[in-house]
Amino acid sequence: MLVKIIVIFFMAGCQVKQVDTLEVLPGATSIERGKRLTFSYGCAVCHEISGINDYPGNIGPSLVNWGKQKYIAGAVPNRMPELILWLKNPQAIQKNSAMPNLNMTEEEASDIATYLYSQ
Amino acid sequence: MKARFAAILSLLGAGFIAGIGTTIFLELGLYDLSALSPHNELERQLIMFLKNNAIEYQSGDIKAPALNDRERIKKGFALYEVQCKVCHGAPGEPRGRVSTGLNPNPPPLFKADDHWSSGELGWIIQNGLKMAGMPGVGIGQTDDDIWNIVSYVKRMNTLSVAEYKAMKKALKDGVDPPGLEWEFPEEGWKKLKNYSASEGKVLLKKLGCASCHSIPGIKAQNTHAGPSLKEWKNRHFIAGQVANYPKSLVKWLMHPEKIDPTTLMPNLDVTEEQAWKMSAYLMSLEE
Repeated sequence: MLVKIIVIFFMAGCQVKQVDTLEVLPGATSIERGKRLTFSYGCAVCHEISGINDYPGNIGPSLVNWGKQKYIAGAVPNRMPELILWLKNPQAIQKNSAMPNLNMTEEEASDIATYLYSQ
Repeated sequence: MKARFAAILSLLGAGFIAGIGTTIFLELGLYDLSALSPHNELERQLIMFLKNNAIEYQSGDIKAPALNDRERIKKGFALYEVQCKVCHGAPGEPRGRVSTGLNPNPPPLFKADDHWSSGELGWIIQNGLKMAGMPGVGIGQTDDDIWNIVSYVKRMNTLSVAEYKAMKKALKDGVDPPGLEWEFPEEGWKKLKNYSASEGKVLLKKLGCASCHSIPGIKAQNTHAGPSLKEWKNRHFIAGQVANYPKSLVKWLMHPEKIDPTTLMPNLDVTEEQAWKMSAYLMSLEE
């Protein structure tokens, strides 16, 4: 166990790079940025999402295989522009939604949507 | 003798190498300290294991007072709005700017009552959690204040978005809007036991529920129009608006449009009896 922990710590360490910019993931793709943002906005505390484990994760519906889903919030078609709108302002689509408006930017919403469709 | 000597020597050697390795790792600053980077899964599991065990052990003898009390829940709600919402959010409302990007992400507390006993909730709120960003809220407050917050956290387990909005209005106006219930509602778990889950399964099949929802145990050409209902019992919100317990699920199955006017889920004219049976099957779906 101890050896395993040390090995994992080293592996985690290997991903750390020195940077010369404030950009969090310099040169990253939209999917990579989206994955990081999906974690940091805490999306996985409510939703089951591939590649991100968080607690408790069962407040809202599972988003695994999100691309297959036909509708958002049982109300509008599941397409990129609607998903970006939903992520930025859920109450614009479903007035009494428990999903909070997290004040994300257009770019952030677009990266998160790209990640969700990529799962 | 020789074998034992070799064994001790290799153990010492392994320890020495592990020690050197760890020292180099710590010295070079290679640990990924960015809060925007998630813990790896092993680290996360270890932390959760430690947290669950420590809280269970250390809160061992705490006795909670009676918590299903209107005044307590009301006071607890007022305290939660000021002290807890900034990190844990509320139905339909985000955590504050200051706690966005925290690692670990503060969990929403809708399910807290399912996971922790009242004593454990009291302990967590009173003491806070080291290394998790959870402050010891007990500093500067009476035990009674802590129990008031616990009461409201337990009420969150059944709280709908509409009820939450009504509570906010009550706090602002100083008068309760008509119909607002502060106490824990009757959830209907006992009543649910009188209905047959297998009859419910037959009804779900017959009504074609599985052509929109993926439902464990029912095969169909799923169109993915609605969300998957796997492990339904563990899910918190119905239609993202009301808490999921037998009575509210029955209401939803009978009249979805009354809960969510924009929903695509049709009113299938199910009787109350049928809705209870369907709920019995859906609530039997857990891990």
